[in-house]
Amino acid sequence: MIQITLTKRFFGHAKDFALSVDYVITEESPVAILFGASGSGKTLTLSCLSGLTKPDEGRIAVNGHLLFESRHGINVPARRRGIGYMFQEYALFPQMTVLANVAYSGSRFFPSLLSREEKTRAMDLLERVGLSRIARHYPSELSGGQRQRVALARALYADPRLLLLDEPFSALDPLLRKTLRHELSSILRDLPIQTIIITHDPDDVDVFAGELILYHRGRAKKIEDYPVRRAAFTSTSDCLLSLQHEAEIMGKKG
Amino acid sequence: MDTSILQPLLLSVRIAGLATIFSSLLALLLAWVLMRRRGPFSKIIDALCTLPLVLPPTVIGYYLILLIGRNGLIGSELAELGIHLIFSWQGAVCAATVVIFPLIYKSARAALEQVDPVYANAARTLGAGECRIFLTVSLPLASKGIIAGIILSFTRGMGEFGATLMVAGNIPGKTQTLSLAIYAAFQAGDDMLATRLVIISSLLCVALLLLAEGIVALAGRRKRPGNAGN
Repeated sequence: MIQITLTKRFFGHAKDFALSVDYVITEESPVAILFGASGSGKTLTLSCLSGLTKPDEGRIAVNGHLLFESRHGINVPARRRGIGYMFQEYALFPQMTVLANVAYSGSRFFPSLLSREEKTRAMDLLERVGLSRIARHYPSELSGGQRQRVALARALYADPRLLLLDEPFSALDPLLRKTLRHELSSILRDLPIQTIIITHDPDDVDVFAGELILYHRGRAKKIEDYPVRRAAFTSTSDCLLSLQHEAEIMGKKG
Repeated sequence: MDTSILQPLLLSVRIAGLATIFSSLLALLLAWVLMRRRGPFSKIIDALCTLPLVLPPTVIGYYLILLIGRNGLIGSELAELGIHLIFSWQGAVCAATVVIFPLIYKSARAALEQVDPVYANAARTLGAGECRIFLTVSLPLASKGIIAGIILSFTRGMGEFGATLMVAGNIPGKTQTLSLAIYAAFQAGDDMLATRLVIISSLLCVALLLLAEGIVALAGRRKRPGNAGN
């Protein structure tokens, strides 16, 4: 179970932004989707969850591990949270080979000096995402889809208790997206790790649909009965549009 | 080459080389520490780090004498241990270190600030500590700019004159570097020697600058795209 209760304010030049969310993601659905327009606070939520950004107030707990609690001054640093994070542009280390990238979370200080076990483990993971042939290549030599899978293997190498994927397909060209969406979904299905995916693409919601959390201008609303709501519409987009409209009205009232 | 040329040349290389090593380590350490803090204190230190760039070399020399001179703050302590930095080549290393420090510090800091913070964040979520992130992610990604800055500083160190003269003097065979030897030869009316020293000095600087260019080009040719990661 993942509990996310947090507020974070930014006082920007153009306008202020305030994120204020409070929801729980249960274990029932292995994949949760954060859906909403850009700038609605989805990435900021993941950043707080992973420990890269400190919320102003709140409480974050993942599977019984308390990671952040503002009242007691608890703030576990990102490196000890055990949360895998796949960034929007994947953020592969460009100066390291694919192999060194994947095994970066290993025990070695310098990622190029791998022990035999670490190398085997990294190669196994690469095999699983179908990339063992390019272990010696550098990220700049890979296609977008290959980079995505390397980033996934790198996050998995650390044995995370939770996996965060920030718009996993936005950096890919539209034709590739469809294939990779199904590929990723089948990889995730075999993993015993709970996953949160950010997206603003309705097609992603269709494929990954577990729990759905709708983001709108710094507020988040969990859609408890998404499958029921979805059944009333012919397309996912229409359904999401209607849900978003509701959230907008709610936001204005609040 | 006779000793009147070889001796000052080797001395210059030794002094500039050691000064570059000391300065680089210090500058990288300070850049790392100061980049992570955003207070008025770190801004003041940052300004102080740039100071040797704008101060007249003689002023730097004077401060150094106050610091490491026989009656200086550190110098008097060192004298008790039998170490005398004034009028020694080690003193010249101190002078060159201070003079070239801002060049390395500024270029290192600029290069490190150019690195997209997403890489450090990725390393954080992968369990790496800050020191490991600096040495294995940030530093390699900034290496082009840092190496260029280091070579530039070495050439500047080779040409150090003012502060070195004040701190180490101009003792032939002991503290007389290339640039000091040129001045001494010119003063003594030995135009022939001065000309030869000037030519060697110029060629060396051009060669080093070309080397800097070459290293930067080489680093760029490695599997590292300009817009790293995209």
